[in-house]
Amino acid sequence: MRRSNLKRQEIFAFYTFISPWLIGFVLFIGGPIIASLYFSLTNYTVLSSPEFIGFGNYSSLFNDPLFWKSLYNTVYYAVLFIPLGILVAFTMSILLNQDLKGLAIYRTIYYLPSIVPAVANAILWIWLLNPQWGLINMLLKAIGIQGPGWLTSEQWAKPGLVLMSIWGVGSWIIIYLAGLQGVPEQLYEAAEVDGATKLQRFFYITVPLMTPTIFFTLVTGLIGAFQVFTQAYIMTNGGPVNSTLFYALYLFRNAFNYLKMGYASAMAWILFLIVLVLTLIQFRLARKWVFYE
Amino acid sequence: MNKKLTVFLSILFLLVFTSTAFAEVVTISFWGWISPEWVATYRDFEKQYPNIKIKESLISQEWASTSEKFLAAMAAGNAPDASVQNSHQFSQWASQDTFYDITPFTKKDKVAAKDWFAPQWKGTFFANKQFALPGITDTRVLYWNKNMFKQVGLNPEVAPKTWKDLENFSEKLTKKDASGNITQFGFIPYWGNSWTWIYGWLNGGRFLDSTGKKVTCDDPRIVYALDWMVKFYDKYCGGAQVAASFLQGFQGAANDPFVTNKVAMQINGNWQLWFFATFPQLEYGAAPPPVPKEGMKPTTWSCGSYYAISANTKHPEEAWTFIKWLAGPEGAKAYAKNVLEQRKKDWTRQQLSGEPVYVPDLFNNKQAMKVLQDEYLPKLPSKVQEEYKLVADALNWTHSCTEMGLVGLTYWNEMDAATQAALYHKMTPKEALLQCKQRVQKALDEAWAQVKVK
Repeated sequence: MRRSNLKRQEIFAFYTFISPWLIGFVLFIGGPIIASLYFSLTNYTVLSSPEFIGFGNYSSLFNDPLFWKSLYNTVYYAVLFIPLGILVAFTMSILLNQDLKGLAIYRTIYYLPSIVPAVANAILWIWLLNPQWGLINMLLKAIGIQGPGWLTSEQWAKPGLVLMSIWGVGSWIIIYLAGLQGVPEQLYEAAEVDGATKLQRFFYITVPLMTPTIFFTLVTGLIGAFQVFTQAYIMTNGGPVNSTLFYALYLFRNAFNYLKMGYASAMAWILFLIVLVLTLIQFRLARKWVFYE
Repeated sequence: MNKKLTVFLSILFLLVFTSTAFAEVVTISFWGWISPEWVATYRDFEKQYPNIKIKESLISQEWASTSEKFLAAMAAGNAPDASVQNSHQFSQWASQDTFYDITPFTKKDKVAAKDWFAPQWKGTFFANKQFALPGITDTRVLYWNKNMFKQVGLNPEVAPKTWKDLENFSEKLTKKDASGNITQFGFIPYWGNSWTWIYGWLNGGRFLDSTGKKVTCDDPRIVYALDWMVKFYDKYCGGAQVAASFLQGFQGAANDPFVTNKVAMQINGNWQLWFFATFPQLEYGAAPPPVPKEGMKPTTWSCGSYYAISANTKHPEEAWTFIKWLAGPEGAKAYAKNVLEQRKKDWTRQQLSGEPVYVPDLFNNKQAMKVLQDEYLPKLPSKVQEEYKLVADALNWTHSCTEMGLVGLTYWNEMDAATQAALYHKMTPKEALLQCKQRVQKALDEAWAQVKVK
């Protein structure tokens, strides 16, 4: 009797303490998520009450060429950005893990770009990607390459934005650094005693032990890449010729510019399903290559 | 007798005094601009109407994105009493029963069409009800750089009048370097603030039928206009890509390609008059936008701000008093005075030489325009006066962006996409405009099905 009373008290205390978060979650996250599922089945201008239309939004989405175009642009961006981002961040983290003088300064410098506010970052890159006087094309010119028009070119706008995103992979570098510090020193010592070369030690110790970390960035990176928005909203407004009309940008336009909240909600749910499926696939594939100690 | 009168008078005085002092002060929430000259203007209004207080807040830093915030406020049922609306999107908002029908007020106060410039005045109506008063607007004209004309032997006093002139002049004005890259342009059709809309309208095209329910951007006259733009780009600008990446190089006001003698002609808004005034070495002229063929009437288009009252306001009368004042001559006068005061402060702070001037804004109210022109025009250099007369006169022959219809913003984005598709040779002008037509028609049908104002 006494025990269960205590337990009840504990449960009460638990929920009391967690209630700010719970209430916040239900009101501002969980509730809207469920509401959006309902709205996705309606014709909803926000200014009038929603009108139920079943799967109407979903079927018109599949017939909407801009939906496909925006999905294509987003997948293109993700496929280009994630592997390159991981490669760059991983390489940087290894370099920043060396025993060097002034290491803390280097680490700070390479992390700095990721704390630049998104809008300032975008404005800065408009200049960097400037076809005539941009730093990037200047550098290309110095080695004899005529740089592309970047943001004014249908072919190069997306790669331009990818380049910009790679500049901001500082947070991944931090995560990889943490991972690298976690690799037990004795493994390297044992390998050295066995006569393994530096390269062998890297590929047979460092890389396998880093796979869980890489996997983590792969999953979060994919989720992030599918939500790419700010750059296109500020820098290109979807152009030229819709080549940077990303999924989230098109969703935003439908929701807030065209008064089609139902349609936008349907888009959000499709995005959720896509990301969910891709993440599940990754978890399945991870069994083959991610190495847990 | 005398005593009685005194008592009577003092009671009367007390009554009058207390009734005004304790008259209920009504606060109007207003979403608009909050830059110092505007805030001072709201305070001026309060001085004149002591029983109305204006509580202003910024509608949006970005003029184009006023809608997100307003949409959320409407949905939550706490929209401001009055607000500034972008005329672009106005029809669609008005169709949703968002705004208060001010027709009874305009009837009562005799605010009538004849006192306003017609294009934007018409734009404030939906289903024969008026939902706003038009505030400040803009017009677009052709500017040409006289120095550049002189350099290549063109008469600097003769503006291009037709599209053919634009071609012939550009032929002379275009310069290339040794490796064939264009270093100087005559005219770039889609640069400045022209958009395909102006070429369509100049060629007599119609973007919607008279009911506003049918998209007609595949009108042969609009197709012709876009086709002309594409050909012009290919022949005189090295193609859309070359021109775009050239222009991308000029960011920031100080190296504007027109001011720095890199592009000789442009179609742009009346706000350029302010901008050009800061470059004393620049010699330029302003003319009506060139027409496709000699003898055709020039036209242009205008966007701008509307003052609307929200449908759910508790103080429609006071809100009406405010927006009527703001859009009319008194508001214009107060605003102009405050702009000039603000500019004087800037002048002192930045230690600039000379006296700041005020180039009157384009108000849609005719009386407001007259008041501003009488007071400020004589103080402007005679050259600017002349140009100002052109941009102001254009208010009589302009198109309003509300003519883009019920789904104005969708139409705008799709026209832009169609233009880019054509300029970049992804589609022929006709294909691009047909695709635009299909997409906008779909959105338009949906929007008409959802109209709530009957």
